[in-house]
Amino acid sequence: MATTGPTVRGVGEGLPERGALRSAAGEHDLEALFRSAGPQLWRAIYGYSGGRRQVAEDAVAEAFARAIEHGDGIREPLAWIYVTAFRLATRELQRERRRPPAMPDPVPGIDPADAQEILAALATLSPKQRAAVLLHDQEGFTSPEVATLLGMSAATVRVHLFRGRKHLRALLSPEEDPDG
Amino acid sequence: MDDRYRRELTKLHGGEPPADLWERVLDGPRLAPLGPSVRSRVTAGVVAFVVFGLAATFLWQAFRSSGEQPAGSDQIAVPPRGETAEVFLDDGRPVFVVHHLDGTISVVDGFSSHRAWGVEELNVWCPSTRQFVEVAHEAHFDEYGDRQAGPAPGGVATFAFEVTAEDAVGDPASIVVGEMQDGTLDPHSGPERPPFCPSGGSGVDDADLIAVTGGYTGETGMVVAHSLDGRQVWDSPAEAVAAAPSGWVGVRGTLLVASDGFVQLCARVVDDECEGGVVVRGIDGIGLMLNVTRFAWVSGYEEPQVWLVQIHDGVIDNPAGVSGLLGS
Repeated sequence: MATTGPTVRGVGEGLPERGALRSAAGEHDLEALFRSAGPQLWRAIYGYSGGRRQVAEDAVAEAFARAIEHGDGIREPLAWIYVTAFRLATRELQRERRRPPAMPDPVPGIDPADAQEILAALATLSPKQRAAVLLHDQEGFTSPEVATLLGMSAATVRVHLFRGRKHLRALLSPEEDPDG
Repeated sequence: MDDRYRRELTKLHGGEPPADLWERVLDGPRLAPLGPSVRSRVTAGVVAFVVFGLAATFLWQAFRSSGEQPAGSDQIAVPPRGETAEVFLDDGRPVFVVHHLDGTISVVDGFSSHRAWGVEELNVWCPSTRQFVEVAHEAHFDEYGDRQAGPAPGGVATFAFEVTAEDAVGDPASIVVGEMQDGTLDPHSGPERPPFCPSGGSGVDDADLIAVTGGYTGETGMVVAHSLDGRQVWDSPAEAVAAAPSGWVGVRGTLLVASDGFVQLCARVVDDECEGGVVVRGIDGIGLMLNVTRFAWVSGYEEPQVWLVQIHDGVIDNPAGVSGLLGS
């Protein structure tokens, strides 16, 4: 089911438009795809960029704009858009040549102070590990779906996931349960 | 198992993009095109190798007749005819793209050929006289980079380029910048310096010119100059050196030349002591000190500002002062 308004989801819940991963040429409704998958992609890029709102907005808008420009020449629009958006974000981050911001940019639905620790931890991962963790563990895609969205094999995704999670677990040690 | 990192990730779940993002999509692509992906490059490389092997003789002939190709990878949009744009190459080097009135193009280095005691100096573009002017000592160069007046040993370096797209009237619309070519050296010491960027002379309306606030603006107050994004400037030389970024980067610091000519870029100078300092190469500290002390007795030379520098092997090379050219 397409989601158009603000939502708060648990891990793996409410994935929009899974079928779009395999949608065929000629049935692109990119606006509908944007409404359903755009927020998810935007969140992933926001996390991928360490909380840079402008990078997320530019990458997502540009990827969809280029998809419209290409028209029916794209066989798998969502995968094409994801790959393009992540590549654009990567390029923008490389251009910045600097460390992640001390505080994430404020955006609706995310408390910068609250998200600061996880974004800083994600920033220590390699770009592919970071993308794999965000799409799989945050956005709830399966490994084969992440593989399609990032243009790599499922086995490679699992390797990136394993290494990324291991690193995050080491960085973010378990909290003491206040209830014992 | 309830991993903490998974709980932390849920803090990103509520994030929503701006409501007008679809409108931005409908505005069309705005960013520069992406280069080929790694996989595409590998595939293209293999295909190109095979094709090249099969047609080596033909290609050899073609290359011999067409001359050398630019080796750079910077894809740059060309400004409208008659205008000059300030751009940074991929390695951070500042250059100007000049679209001459006759429709031809020049890519002119942003650094002056005049390097007093080894200190790099930045040029600005004066639209009213169609000249490049070195902001520190007012060496003047024409729109092709050739020296015209002031203290400079010769012309400014230019860059080879290849036109990659043309506009509707056949003018270059985008270029790829290649190798640097040497500036023209000439022994002529030149006449006295003319006025720096005076009014009039080209018929260019003031409204068409780009104003730079602060720093070096000539008599008109309107020049085209490079500006750095202050958010991308390193706060201290030591931090920048530790990160060892490639190419040209901005660094805040105080250039300190000790009385013995030893040159450092310091985070700050307290009681003549350099804190957070990094050794600077390429500056003639003795020459600089002797020149400064001709006018006033000082125990050392201090210049706090933002510097455009290169970092190699843990030291700073080729600092160029960019004070007053910071973007807002």
